[in-house]
Amino acid sequence: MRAWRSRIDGLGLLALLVLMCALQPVRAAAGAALSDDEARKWLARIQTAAHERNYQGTLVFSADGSLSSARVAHFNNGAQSYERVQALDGRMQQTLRHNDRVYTLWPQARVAVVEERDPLQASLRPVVEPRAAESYELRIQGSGHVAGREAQMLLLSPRDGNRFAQRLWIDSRSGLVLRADILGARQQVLESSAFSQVEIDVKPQPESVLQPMKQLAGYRQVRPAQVPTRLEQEGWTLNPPVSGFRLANCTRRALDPVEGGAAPQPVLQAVFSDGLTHVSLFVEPLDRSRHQQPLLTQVGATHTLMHAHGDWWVTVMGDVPAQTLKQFFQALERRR
Amino acid sequence: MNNDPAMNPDEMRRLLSAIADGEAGPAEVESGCGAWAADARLHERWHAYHLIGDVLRSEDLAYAPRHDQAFLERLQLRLDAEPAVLAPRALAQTDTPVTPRRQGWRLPLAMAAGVMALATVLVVANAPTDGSAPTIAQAPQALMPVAQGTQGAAAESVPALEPVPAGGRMVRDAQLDRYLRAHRDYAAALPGSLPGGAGRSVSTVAFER
Repeated sequence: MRAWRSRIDGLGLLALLVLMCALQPVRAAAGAALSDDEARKWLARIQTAAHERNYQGTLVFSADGSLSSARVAHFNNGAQSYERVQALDGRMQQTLRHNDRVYTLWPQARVAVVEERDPLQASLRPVVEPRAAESYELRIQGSGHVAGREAQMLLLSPRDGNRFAQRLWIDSRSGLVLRADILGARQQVLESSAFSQVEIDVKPQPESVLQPMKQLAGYRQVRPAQVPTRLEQEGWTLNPPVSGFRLANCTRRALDPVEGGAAPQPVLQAVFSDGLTHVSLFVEPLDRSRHQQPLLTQVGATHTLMHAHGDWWVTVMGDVPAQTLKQFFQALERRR
Repeated sequence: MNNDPAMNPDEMRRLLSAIADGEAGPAEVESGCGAWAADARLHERWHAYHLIGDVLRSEDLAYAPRHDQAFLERLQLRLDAEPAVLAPRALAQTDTPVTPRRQGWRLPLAMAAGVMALATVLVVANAPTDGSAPTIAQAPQALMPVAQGTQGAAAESVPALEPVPAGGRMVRDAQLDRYLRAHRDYAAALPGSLPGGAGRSVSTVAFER
């Protein structure tokens, strides 16, 4: 009896394996690559939806088996743009944005970090640019549901080994990204973020963002200085540039706006973007007491490389393979 | 520098890491404790290993490395001031070298604290049971030499990271969060744009010289 059952189980397992093998190529082939024109249209639709739609919901983020969530709201009434992201775990910090003014409130520490950001980079939520089509091939992979809404699955596969694939679930009606998975080289999910609940095209409620920005009694306000600069002006250059990545921003800044008691060391941060993901390059003077071990780490999809570069300490960070970070590090040249 | 002249610093660090992880045998624990008592640098390292565990549990613990160092120092002072009121016990073997009395009981205390810290880390690390191997704060065991200095040589010697061994050697660098926050100010990445980030369990490959 038992032998008989185990034989059936064996057969079932075999059948499952055969089925999986058979399905694999079918899944991979689902949907031909979109033409460049179509791809750009899709990406532009995603970009416009993220900017123009009024929505609020709960976003769940998972990486390496850990889970966190945030309440998110975005309002846009023509000229004005408002955003709120409140972490629901850990220190429950709340980030509020009105156009280019960004406030980050830490309720337990009673600290408010007040910043004025580059309008192009002010968004608290994902930014997808149509030029991502240069570095990624787009495929429609079918449809499904996220947070109870009908969504189309869009696979963005990298055209070279410098970046990770992403699978996006796009709301069929609005074009909003409802879920995003970053996939590793073997198509495994490195990290994932998704709305568990979302309302799209809600009535804008700018007051819900402005009100907490005004009620800062009892909060210590910190205004970190961020000085725009250029890589060349700081004596650095990237030679050769890493394919697909363009310099999006370059500033001198303090890394610890809150703690910054003991002489905050200004750090040079250069941000490079490929339209979908970005890489930060930090350069600071080498401090042998703190900067000892070269380091290569991974958190979810985010890789980090830390290494001495002559008299400097370089940190390269991004949701890209370690190989890409090495390219950035190797291409970095001191010009004076 | 060490009690055991046969042991080089690398081996010593490996042993300390094994003790911190509860992987060392009784004989190793004994020789490790001996070396630890004699070498201030090993005190520091032992402390660092547990700080790593703390940071894995909560990033709040990462911000005051000097605070708990100060606490430990105060504790040491208090322990030194404390009269040693231990129930006297007949020595079973008089031929074993007698360690100084105070250190004799301060050491197990430190070890016990270490074991407790590790136990907590283990519990936290096991919490998300998604079938994957639990991430455990561990000191780097496979130490990969990395040349520092000239750019070309340095970049070449950065070893390949992928694939990260599942449940492999993991280390949390408290420094990382500062950069991560600055990096995520630019919300061009999709899931990473949550303020403060999420992924608290960290798979890291660290290498020392």
